[in-house]
Amino acid sequence: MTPLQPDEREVALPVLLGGLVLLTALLALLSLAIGKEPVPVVQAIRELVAGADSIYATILVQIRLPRTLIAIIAGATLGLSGAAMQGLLRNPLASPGLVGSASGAALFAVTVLYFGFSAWTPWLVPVVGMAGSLLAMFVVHAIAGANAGVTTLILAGVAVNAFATALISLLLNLSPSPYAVQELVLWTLGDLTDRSLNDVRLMLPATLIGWLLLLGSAPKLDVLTLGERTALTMGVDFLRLRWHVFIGVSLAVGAAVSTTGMIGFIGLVVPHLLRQLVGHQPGRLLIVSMFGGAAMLLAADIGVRLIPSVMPLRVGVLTAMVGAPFFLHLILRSRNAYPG
Amino acid sequence: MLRTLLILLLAVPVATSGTAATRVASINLCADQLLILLADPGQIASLSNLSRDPTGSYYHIKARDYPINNGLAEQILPLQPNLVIVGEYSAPYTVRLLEQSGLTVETLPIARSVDDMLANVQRVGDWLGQSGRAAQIVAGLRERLQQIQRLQEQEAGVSGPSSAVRRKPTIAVFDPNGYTVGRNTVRGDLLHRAGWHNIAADRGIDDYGRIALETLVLAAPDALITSPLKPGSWSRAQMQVRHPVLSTSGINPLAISIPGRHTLCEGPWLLDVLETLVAQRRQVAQRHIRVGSRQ
Repeated sequence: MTPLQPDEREVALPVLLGGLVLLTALLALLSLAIGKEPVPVVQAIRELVAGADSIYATILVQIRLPRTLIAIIAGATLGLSGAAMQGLLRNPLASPGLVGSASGAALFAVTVLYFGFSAWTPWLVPVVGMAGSLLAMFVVHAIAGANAGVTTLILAGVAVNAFATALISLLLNLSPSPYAVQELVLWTLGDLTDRSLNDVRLMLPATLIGWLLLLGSAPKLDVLTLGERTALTMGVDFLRLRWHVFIGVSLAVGAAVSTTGMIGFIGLVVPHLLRQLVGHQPGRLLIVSMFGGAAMLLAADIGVRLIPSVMPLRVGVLTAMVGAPFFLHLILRSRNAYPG
Repeated sequence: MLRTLLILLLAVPVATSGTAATRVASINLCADQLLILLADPGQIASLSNLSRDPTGSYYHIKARDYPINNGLAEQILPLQPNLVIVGEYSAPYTVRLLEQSGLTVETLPIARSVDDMLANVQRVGDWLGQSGRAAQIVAGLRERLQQIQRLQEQEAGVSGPSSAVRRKPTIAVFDPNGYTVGRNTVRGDLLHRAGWHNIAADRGIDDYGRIALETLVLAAPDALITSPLKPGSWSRAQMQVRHPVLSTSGINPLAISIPGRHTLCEGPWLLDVLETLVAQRRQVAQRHIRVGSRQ
C-alpha cells in the first residue's frame, strides 16, 4: 500500500481524469434531458442561445439545471470529502456519512430552516450547516480518540449519527409547520427535486472554499502515508493537517447537506473504487474522487427519476442500494486481512 | 318534599325532549363546524380538539366556548351523549367502541361539492332536531347560488357570443408538495362553478393528485390557487410553492390564496370562496381583453 510501489492497475492520471470528466458531462446532459414532461432539450438550448423567452428554456434553466448542478456539486463534495478523510485518518471506512459531519450539518440546517430563523437570511442555512458538521466531527473524533481504530471510530460515528437523527426527528415534530414531519425522509435519504438557482448560489461559496482547502491538502496527505512521525520530520504537522481537512470537509459538506439532506455511501464507495487506479496515492485520489462522486450522484438522481413511483423516490435509496453491499464487501475483506 | 319536586321539575325537560339529540359530541373537524352552525349551544357536549385550530377550523373562535375531546372513546363515554358524530376517516376502533357502548353514532359523509355541503347542512340539522333552521339556511344559500349563477350568465350575454367561444381562464390548485385537486372535490367544484378551467382535468385528475412543477410551468395557468394550512411556518413543501420559476415572465400566474379553514370543511362560507373566485376570474379575463386589444 505504499505510494512508492507502482500498482499494475494504475491508470495515467490525465486519462482517468479525462474519462471521469467525460462521464460526468454525459450524465449531466442526460440529467438535463430527463423530467416529468418531454422537453426538446436541443430546441430549448437553441432558444436559450437565441435569447428567446420560451417555456422550454425556462424549464431547462430554472428547474432542470439547478437540479443537475446541485447533483454535481454535492456529489463532488461527498467524493472529495470521503477521499480526504480516508487519507487523513488512514482508515478505509472514514466518510462524511460515518464520522458525523453529514448528520451534524443536517441537524443544524433543520434547526434554522423549520423554525423560521432562515427567514432573516437564507445564508444562515449553509453557514449553520457547516458549524453543525464541524461540531459533530469533533465530537466523534474526541470520543474515538486521536489514534482510534476502525471499530472505535465507527461506533462513535454510529452514536453521534443516531443522536443527531433522533434530534432531527424531534425538531421536525416540534416545528410549527404541518408538513415538517413528512420531511424527515428528505433529510435522512436526501432529495434534489425542485430546487432553484438560488439554492445553487447559496451552496457555492462555502463549497468552493472547502474544495480549495481539501485539494490544497493533497501533498500533505501523500506525505502522511509515510507515517505521522516521518511526516513531521518533513514539515507536516498532523494536528494542523487535521484542522485543515476537518474545516474543508465541514465547509463543503455543510453546504451540500443543508441543500440536499444526507446522501449516504458516495463518500465511502467512490474513493474505494478509484484508489487502485491512482496507485493508492491519497493526493491524486482527491481530484478523481470529486468527479467520481459527481458522476455517482448524477447517476443515482437520474435513476430515481426513471423508476416509476407515485411518490417521489429519494436519491439516498439508490446510493444505499449500491453502497451498503459494497460496505459489507469492505468489512469482509478487512476481516480476511486482519483475522481475529 | 320540596327537593323531590325540584328534582322532578329539573328532570322534566330532559325527559320530554329525549327523542331529539340533546347532548351531541363530535370527533370530526367538519362535524364540529356544522354543530356550531346549527345546534343550540346547550346541545353541544363536546367538539374535537381541532375545532379550536385557527388553521383548519372556520369557527375556531366560537369553538372555545365548548368542551373539547381528542377523539378518544374514554373522553366521550362519560359525557353520555345521545348522539356522536364521526367522520368517514375517524379511527375505526374508536367508532366501534362507541357503538358497542350503546351510543348512537352517525357518520358525516365527506363533501365533494357545493351540493354535498347543502345536503350535509340539512343532514346534521335533521340529526339535531333543527330541521327548520337547517332548511332556512339551505334555502338562503340556494338563493345566493342562483344569484351568482345569474350574474355570470348575464356577464356572458353582455360580452357577446365571441366571448363564449373564447377560452376560459385556466387555473390550478398548487398546494405544498405539489398536491392538486380535480372536479370531484369542494375546491374543484367551486372553480368549475366560478367559470375557471382547472388544468388538473387535462391531466386526468378527478379528485386528488400531484402535479409536477414542470407540468405546471408547461401548462402555464392564468392563476394558481393555494390553501396554506399554516401561513408563516417553514418547510421544504411550503418552499416549493414559492419556487422562483413561478414568477418568471411569461408564466407569472395570478396567485390566489384561500385560507385552509375556508376549504378544509364544508359550510356556508364556501359561497364566500365562490364569490372570491368569480371576482378573480373576472379580473384575469379583463387582463386578457386588455392584452388582446393591444395586439
